[in-house]
Amino acid sequence: MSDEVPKTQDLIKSIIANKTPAASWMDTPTVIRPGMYCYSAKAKPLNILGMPHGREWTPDADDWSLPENWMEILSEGLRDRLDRFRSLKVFMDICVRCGACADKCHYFIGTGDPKNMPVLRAELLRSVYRKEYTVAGKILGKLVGARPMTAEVLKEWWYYLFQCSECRRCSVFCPYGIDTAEITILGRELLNLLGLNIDWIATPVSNCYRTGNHLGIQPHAFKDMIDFFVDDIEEITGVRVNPSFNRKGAEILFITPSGDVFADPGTYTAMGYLILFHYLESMGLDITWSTYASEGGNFGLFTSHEMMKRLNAKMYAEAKRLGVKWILGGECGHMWRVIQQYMGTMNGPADFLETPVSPLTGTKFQNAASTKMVHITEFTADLIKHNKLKMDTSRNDNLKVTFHDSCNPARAMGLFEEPRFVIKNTCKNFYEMPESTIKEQTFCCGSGSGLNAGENLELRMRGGLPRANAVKYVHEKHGVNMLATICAIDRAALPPLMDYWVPGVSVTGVHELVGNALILPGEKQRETDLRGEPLPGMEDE
Amino acid sequence: MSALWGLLKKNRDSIVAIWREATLDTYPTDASNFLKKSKDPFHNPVGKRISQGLAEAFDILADQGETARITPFLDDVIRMRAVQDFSPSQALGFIYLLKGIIWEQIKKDAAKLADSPDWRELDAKIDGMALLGMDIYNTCKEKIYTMRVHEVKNQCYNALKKSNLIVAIEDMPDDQDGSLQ
Repeated sequence: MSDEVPKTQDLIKSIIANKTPAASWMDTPTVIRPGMYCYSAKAKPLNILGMPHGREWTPDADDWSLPENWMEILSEGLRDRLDRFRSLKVFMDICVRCGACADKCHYFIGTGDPKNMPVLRAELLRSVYRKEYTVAGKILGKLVGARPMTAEVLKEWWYYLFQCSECRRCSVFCPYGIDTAEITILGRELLNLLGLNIDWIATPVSNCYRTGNHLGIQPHAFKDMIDFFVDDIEEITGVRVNPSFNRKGAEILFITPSGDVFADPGTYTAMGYLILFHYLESMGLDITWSTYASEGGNFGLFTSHEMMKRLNAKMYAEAKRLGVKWILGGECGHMWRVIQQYMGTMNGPADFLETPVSPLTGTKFQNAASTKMVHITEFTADLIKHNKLKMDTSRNDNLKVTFHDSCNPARAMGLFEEPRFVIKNTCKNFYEMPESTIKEQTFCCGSGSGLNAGENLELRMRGGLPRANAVKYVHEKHGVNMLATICAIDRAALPPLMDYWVPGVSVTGVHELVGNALILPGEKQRETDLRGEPLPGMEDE
Repeated sequence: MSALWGLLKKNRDSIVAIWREATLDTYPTDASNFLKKSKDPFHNPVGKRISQGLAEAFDILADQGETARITPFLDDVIRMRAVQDFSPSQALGFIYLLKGIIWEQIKKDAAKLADSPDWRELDAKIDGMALLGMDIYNTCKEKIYTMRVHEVKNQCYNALKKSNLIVAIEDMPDDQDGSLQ
């Protein structure tokens, strides 16, 4: 080695040719990179929904085929929403850019891209708002953080508003209570005025509107799938469960995300529900599934307030049609944000239903007095508390479990203890991840709010790094091999995340653990769990 | 231990600190300040993995350990950079930075070592580390692509199966000698 060795700084310059310059974010151009974005919405699903400007366009093309008067549409759309949503007006004005939220976003932490700081993501909109609505912005422009709307700014909005999973972790840390997720929601609503949705959201919304679930599954196929589970349960337990569908006069309607019915490992959670309901039937549970309200999820939340309301309404329309008293909801994430935070005033209060009462324990769920909808972990935790379930927890002895708080049940409804109570009563090995990564501070899976596509895997892996990093910690420290969660998107998104960052950790729903442990009257000696894998001690059978 | 390896150990802390700083400088300025300052391993996994990974990798290098032992520490760093906004050369360039950093840190004391064969060994070890890095980077990218393909294959297979359009081999009955009937 000699003096000719290049200096470190020269090497940095040559190696890192396109290192982001230390320029203001406004002067840093946005590069739309493959792996980071989802495919654009096609014309057909938008047309079916009656949404405007459906067309074929691609995010990496220069020309997005925008309608001629797109600036006018956007400006009018923003004006309209500033009038209608006081939160938006307040959030546009009160941020003092203190930076408390800056390093709280999992996408920023995982990508290092400053425009993924919640404050900057919101600034993308605020800068345009300032230019149009504030005197200082109109006169001083860039000096006060204002800029005019351009096609480049629009593309930047699209790119970064679909890099926010609306998880609301940042809002926990904002001293003013600014909820950046609401800014994202309204920003996406504005983009939808120009037909600028993503396919992973628009198609499920359209499917849900047509057939009742995200996948476009028709009622007979929905029933067929449940029948498959019935066969599997019989094979594993020797007991044939007998669920009912669309049964008028049932006391309770059960609604869960379609992911539980159609995507592993959610399917094992669905088997857990079926086993639980069968167990309780002889004790007085009167419950029905619906092949029409066959989706708990609501991708309308990721599209517009109107679309969220439209999709939410079908669940209650079905409850009314069947004449049930209340609704039991499955392990879903954002369904519970819609129910807990919007339903009461959006389509409710659901006065035609009754405040839910558990027919097994007599517990009245006053927390659901407006929506009449109870989370299944609340329901099951109550059963366990009242000693209503006979379980053989040794069937889960091979599992070392940790719990991922799904963003919406955690931050939108404060559901922390019930799922943990159920897990601890079905498994003996439970280990918490570090406090700063769970409960209200939980890290997102990185794929929420409709971003769980295949084409944006790099974004998902980066965004999921903080969550995976905490799982890796308990995996290495305690040998954790199972990540439990109560969200269908988590159950779909976390397996590849674990596969990439923490191989050796599988993903389960909480009611899969219940289904394994519950002792059904008349069951044979089980040799396998619901996945068909040998139970502890049965490996050589 | 020859003088060069001794110098590496003597200057270990400054070399590792500058290597870490230079690697974190490959992130956008606004982010690198956070990545450098936050010590919480759960709040700042990128900073933590880089700090820990580079320190461990350097220690093995300075101990003249087997390059392969560096794998898990390099993996921690490269697994992130393989999915971040870096081209392959940018993702792995931090390894080559080590050559210049070492030289700058020890050159005052290294004048007498100009002809030492240990330089060639050090050079080869860092090159070896870079080659190992290429393997890791490629493994990570292959993993991403494989996951993507699996996702599509599973969707197609499940759709066919649920539509009762296929009968899986494992669902077919066997005769006594195990062949299909």
